[in-house]
Amino acid sequence: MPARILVVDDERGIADTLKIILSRSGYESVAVYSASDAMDVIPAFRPHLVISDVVMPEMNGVELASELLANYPETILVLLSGNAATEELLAQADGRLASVIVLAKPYSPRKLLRLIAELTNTVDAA
Amino acid sequence: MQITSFQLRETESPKADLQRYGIAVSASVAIGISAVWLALWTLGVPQRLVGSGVMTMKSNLAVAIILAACGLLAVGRKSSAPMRRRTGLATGLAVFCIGGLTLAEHIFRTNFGIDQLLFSEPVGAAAVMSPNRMGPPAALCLTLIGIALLALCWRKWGIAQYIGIAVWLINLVPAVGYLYGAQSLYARANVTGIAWSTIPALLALGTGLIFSRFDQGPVSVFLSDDAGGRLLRALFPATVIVPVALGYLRTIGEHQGFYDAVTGRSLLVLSMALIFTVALWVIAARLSAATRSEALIHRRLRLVFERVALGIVEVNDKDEFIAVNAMACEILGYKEEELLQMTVHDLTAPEDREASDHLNSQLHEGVFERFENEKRYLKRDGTPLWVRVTVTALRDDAGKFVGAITTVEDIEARKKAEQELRASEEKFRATFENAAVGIGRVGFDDARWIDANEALCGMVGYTAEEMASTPWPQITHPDDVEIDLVSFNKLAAGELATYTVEKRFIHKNGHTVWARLTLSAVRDADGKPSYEVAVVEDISERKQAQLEAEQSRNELRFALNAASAGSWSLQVGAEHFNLGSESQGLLFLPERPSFEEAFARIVQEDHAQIQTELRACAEGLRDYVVQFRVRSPQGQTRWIEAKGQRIKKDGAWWIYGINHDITETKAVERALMESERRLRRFYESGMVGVFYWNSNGAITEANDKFLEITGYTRGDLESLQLNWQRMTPEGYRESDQHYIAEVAATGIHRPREKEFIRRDGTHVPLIIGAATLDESGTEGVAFVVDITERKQVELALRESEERFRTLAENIPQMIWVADAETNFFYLSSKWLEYTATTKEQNANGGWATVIHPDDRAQALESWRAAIESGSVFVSEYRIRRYDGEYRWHLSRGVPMFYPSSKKKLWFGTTTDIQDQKRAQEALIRTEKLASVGRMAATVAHEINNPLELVMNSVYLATLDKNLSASSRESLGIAEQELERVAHLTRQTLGFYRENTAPTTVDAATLVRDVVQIYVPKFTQRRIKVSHEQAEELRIDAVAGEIRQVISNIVANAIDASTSGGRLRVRTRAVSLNGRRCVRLTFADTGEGILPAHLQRIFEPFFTTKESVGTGLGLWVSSEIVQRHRGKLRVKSRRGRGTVFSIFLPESKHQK
Repeated sequence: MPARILVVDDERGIADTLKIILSRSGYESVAVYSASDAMDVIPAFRPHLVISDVVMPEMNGVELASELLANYPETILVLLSGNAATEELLAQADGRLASVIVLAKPYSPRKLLRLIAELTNTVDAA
Repeated sequence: MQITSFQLRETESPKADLQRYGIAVSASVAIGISAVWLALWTLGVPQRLVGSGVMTMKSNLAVAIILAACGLLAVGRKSSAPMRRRTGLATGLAVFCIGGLTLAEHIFRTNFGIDQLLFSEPVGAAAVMSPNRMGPPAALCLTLIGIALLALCWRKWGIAQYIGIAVWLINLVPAVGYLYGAQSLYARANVTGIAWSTIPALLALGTGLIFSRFDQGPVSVFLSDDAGGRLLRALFPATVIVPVALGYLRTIGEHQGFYDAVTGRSLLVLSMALIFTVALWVIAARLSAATRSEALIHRRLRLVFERVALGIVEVNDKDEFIAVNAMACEILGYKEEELLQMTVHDLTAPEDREASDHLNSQLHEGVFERFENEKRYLKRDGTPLWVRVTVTALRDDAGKFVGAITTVEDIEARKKAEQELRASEEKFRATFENAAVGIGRVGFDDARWIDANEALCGMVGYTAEEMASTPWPQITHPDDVEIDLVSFNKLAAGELATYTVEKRFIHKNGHTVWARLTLSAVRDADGKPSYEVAVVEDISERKQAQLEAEQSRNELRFALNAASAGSWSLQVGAEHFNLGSESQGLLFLPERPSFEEAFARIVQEDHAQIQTELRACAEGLRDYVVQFRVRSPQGQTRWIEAKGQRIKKDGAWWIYGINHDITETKAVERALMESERRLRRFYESGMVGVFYWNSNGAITEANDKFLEITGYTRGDLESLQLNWQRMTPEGYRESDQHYIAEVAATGIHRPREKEFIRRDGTHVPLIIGAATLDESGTEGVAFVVDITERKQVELALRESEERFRTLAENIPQMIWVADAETNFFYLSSKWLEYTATTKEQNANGGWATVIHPDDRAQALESWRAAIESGSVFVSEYRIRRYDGEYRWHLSRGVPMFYPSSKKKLWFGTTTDIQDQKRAQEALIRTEKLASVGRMAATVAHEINNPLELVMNSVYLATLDKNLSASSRESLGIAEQELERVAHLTRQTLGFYRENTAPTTVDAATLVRDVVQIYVPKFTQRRIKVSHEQAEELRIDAVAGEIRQVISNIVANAIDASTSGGRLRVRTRAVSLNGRRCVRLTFADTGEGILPAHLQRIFEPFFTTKESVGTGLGLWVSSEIVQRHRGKLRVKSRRGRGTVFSIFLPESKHQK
């Protein structure tokens, strides 16, 4: 069974392209354009992995991470951030969020795919 | 610098006398004998002796001998008188002619007809070749003597001496002949004919010639003081006289028939052997005794040489050391064998070499025999050492210089003292002449000024000459003469060492000049006061200000007193509370307050105390006395003392009281407590002896230091009832009286020197100062500093030091006073010194000229505004310093109204704030940088998003299976380049961030990230980079900031490596001051940093890259590192490279 991946980014172009890239690589993926949409989709979609932007209107990536991990602690979260301070923000926010993986934008799709492959393998093994 | 004395060579000696008498006696004998013969010739005696067989001295010979004797007298001794030389030449020539011609007659058997020129002789005289012709020996002798005389004229002394000896030998032959009756030795007319009386005359001449020079040739050996001379003198009579005498005795004996020839010969040999053996034995015994005593003397000298507490060295004629004693080695710090490799020239300090060499060469040449000189030698460690050397020349018998003996005495200590004294004198002289304060000297006997410097003359308007003839009372205000005179007389009597008064002088123009006078007595070597030094400071302005201040203070005090007391009353157990209107203001209350309202004003902590005391008073236990604080709604606090009494009024108990503002008193009390605390610290610090005294002289308490100084124990303090008056030596008792009076009058006793008697009876010199502890002055505290050491060291310097202390007391401040009309009318000397201007230059607004042109308008505007509104003046501006540098200053003046002069004065200070100003500017610039950083962070987000999209799109494009090979290649390149752009933006823009909370990061990763960015630069500059990293080392850091620091250092390394090189980067764990740290090291092989710059590179705005650098990089870096509780260190060598080390505390969150 292919891993399910949810992509969250208010930049529609990024969300869409990433979704296509992931689909081409055989993952089951869905793209949404805001954090609140993501929270709506998750209960039904039950993603193994969520890739989210950080700076978004209304609810931001860090808040999303906090919300998500409270309800679905087994979900792997990758934050793709344009802001270098994200890591510190997470460290300050909550101890549990330390497990969130933070990548700096722009991040090459090839490297991202390699990372996802690793992460989902771990999931399968578990 | 040097003291040199010489001893000239000896020229006269006893030998000179011997020579003079020897020649005179010899010549007299020769003349005597010849004169007798000439007389006989005149009387015709020799003529009549012809045929009798008696041999006679011929007339020519007699004349020649007289001439020769005269010549000898003339030139026998060294003389340059021309008359003597001419006499010598004439006689020498005449004698030579007479002798030579006669000799020629003998040799060639002719007759020149010279024989009978004076007297004729009948034919047939004994042993003559021709009538009246002298024999060949005499003729030969005359010829030789003539030559000798001529030689003496030409100063060929040696020849004369040898001729003298030859004459002796020639005459010895006939002498022996006469003695033994061997006629062939004296009576052969053609060879040996000579009259017996001629022999002593010629021998006398020979002796005279020998005397003409003794210190050379064979005679010098005969006369010398050494063993050879003694041996020769002892043996000579034996070798000559003994054989002659024995031979004579043998001949006589044989003639008389006592023994035959064989026995005679045997006896001769026997007696000669015996006599010579005895003589030799005696001489040998004497010689060995002499040698023994000489060896003894030598040994003693050696001992002196080695053990004496004086450096002794011996040098040879090339000035090389050939012997040095232990003391010399010790003084100079060299080993003996080292010194023996050196010359005097080497050892002498370069600055003294010329003088020293000159003296030595004069010694070599014999200008003098001995000299003393003070000069510097270089010790082994290269430091110069002052020594006094006494150099004595050593010469051989011929007077040739063969070396010298030098004694060396270390006089460093004396020289140093001399130099210090001189320096101190000069310093004083310079101060005296240039001092801004007036200085003058006053004589004790007539109270006249001995001299006065310019400042003093200017103060009172007299010229230096006028001052010199004016007794000081004449220019003193009549009211002040008395106070000054009393102290002056005490100073003269030696009761006081120094005193200070404020008094008025009368200016030449008639107006009064207020001055502060400090007078110190200067004593001569006997301790008698010789004159006093007066330091005079014009305090007219201060005095004026002081008078005004005092006046306004009095007014103020009166007003305050009137306002600060307020009455109140409170009914016991009831609500009634009245507060006088004055009290309302005092307690910050509105009109007619309730007790609760009033109570609420009082500071919380003081409530309980007031309640307790009020209750106690209400119950009649005691009067109500309490001190409390009230606080105004604006937060102002005031200390109030309330006093009240219970009074019965209209059948009810009331407490009536008054409130009194004691805020100031409290402030004073606090200050007192503070000073008490400081005193305590002082007391316990053990640096200074402290004791508490009362006016009976008892020492009530003392600290350990005081006991140590005076040699008492703590037990003594309690048991002996120490008394400082009893501890005071007799000589100080009288002057103590004055100080007791001073303490009583002023409350303090300025520090002075005195002595105490220690427990063991010795006196300890010390400085003592005292102060009373209470109003009555019966108790006090005294401070004692032991100055034994200083006393000893500074004895010589005391006089000038004292003069200095009096000068150094006033340190001028940069203070000004100004009013609205005249601007600044007082500027402190510090201002004048700082700006190198005069009072006149500052007058009438001239002060503004030292302000930087850019700041001047603003400064004047501020001043104008302050005058118009009568408010505080505050302005910042740059002031030109004496060296031309403009420095930022803060000027602040507070206005005060003076009722007496009905005008406002601004009292101000001007402070150098250059450094704060710089720091401020630096702050502004970093603030700017930070805002750039914030902008960068925003921009980053804006750039990163589109980039992400582009990357995704390109990736998707590559997935198209229908792509041509070239398109695929192009997309590949695009992807690569995008990857590079992504990396770059992440690195550079990532440095700036708004969030500065530290995170735990790996130090090596930080370094790697930064170094990565500079890879193209490294390649371009041909710099090889190596990165040596330990296992992961985590630090708690704001990653971006540390990256900024690293980036800075790496960029500097690149700038420094102008011609390629190497950059070695290392990350490792170390321990710094006991803390576990991560050390990041960056070592480049660039041009390095100049030592002078090295100290300043962490200062803001310090840059050597004028065109490109901001001068902020390293400063910001060091700030960042400090904020991380780390350390930034740099080491550098010009031309070798620079090593920067960043120390950062290791994180506690290690993996």
